[in-house]
Amino acid sequence: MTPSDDFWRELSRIEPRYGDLFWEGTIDVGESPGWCEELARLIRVAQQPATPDELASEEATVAAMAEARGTARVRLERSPAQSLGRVAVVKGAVLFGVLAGGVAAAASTGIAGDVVPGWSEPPAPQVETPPTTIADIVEEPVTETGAEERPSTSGEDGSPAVVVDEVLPAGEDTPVPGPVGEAEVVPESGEVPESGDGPGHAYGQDKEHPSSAGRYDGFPHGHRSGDDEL
Amino acid sequence: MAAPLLSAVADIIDEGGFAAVVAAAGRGEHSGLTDLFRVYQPMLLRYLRARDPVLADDLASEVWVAVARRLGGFVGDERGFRSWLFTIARCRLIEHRRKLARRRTDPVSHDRLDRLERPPAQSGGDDPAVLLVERMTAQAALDAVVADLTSDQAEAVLLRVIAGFDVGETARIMRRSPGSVRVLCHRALRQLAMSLTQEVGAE
Repeated sequence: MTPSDDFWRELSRIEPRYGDLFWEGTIDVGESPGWCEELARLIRVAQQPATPDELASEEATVAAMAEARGTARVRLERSPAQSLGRVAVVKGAVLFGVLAGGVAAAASTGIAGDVVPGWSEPPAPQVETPPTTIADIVEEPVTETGAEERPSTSGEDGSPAVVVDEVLPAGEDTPVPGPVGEAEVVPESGEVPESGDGPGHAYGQDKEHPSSAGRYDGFPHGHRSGDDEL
Repeated sequence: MAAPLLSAVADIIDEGGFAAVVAAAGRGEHSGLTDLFRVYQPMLLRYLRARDPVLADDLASEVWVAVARRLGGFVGDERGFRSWLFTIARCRLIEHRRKLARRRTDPVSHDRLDRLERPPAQSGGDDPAVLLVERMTAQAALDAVVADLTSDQAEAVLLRVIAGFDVGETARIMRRSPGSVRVLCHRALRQLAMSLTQEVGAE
């Protein structure tokens, strides 16, 4: 018989009798083997009364417990109507949030145009690009007046080129210049183009007076031949 | 209840009645909450420190707050309250371990090392082994008991040694059968016998 056999035999004899007593710390180890005494001593020490460090957090923990207890009591004392009203408010807020989020998502993805009748995507905003070069900056005001389209016109006497808004047949009074921007390019020959031909076909046309449309009367807007004595 | 740790429970039952203390605590009265804390905090803290020395104090506070929140709905006697308290503590411990497993960290407690290295000086006998054990703090002795046990064995032993539960109550808290708990305790005792025998032989 080995020492190990002795150990197991001894253990099997002790455990059924003393198992519970071991864990309760009440075993009398008078005639038990050495390890029993050792274990019983450890358990007794482990079951010693409370030490101050174990109760050090009493104040903070009890305060937290009182606060938690107060909160729990308030919850219990709340009336059912208050609870229902609170639930309704929360549900309404959630529903509104879902709807608003859904509409925003549909608008951003373009799905709304397919789903909602009469929905059309808003036009893309036109972004005005600022001029990036000096040439752009210089040319811009010129473009507004349309002067760059005006070729230099030299008179018969070789005088410097002047800008004319309209050219009349020889012998006629100089008409009142039209408004800025309505000047057209006139050939250097001084010929008056026929109505509807060439770049000057719109000249003198007054859209407010259909009777004069397509007919050149040699007068600026609102001035018809025959209305005034020349 | 001969164990000194559980004598406080006997006192609270004898003096004013456990139901009165629980009722006062349920009303949020400071005295009732303090009585419960003073009686059960030491055993709760030792149990938690043996299982998780790093966060034991924080977990104990969480357990007490959880108890306070649900105290209004508690119905039962002292043993029922103790069982409820340790059930909450065990659940909190399991939750914490799940979080810890996800984080994969293994912090080391300096407090635990200090407790092992610097036991308080107390009077003891002439036998060095006896002197060593008697100089140990309660937590150090408890740590020595469960040091070589598996997690389930340690759990069963702690609930029996510290909380003073019998097999049936321990089985309910651990959600096991009583037979399973008996087997765990028996294996724990065998392991302790082997460990202590080797130590005695080495000396």
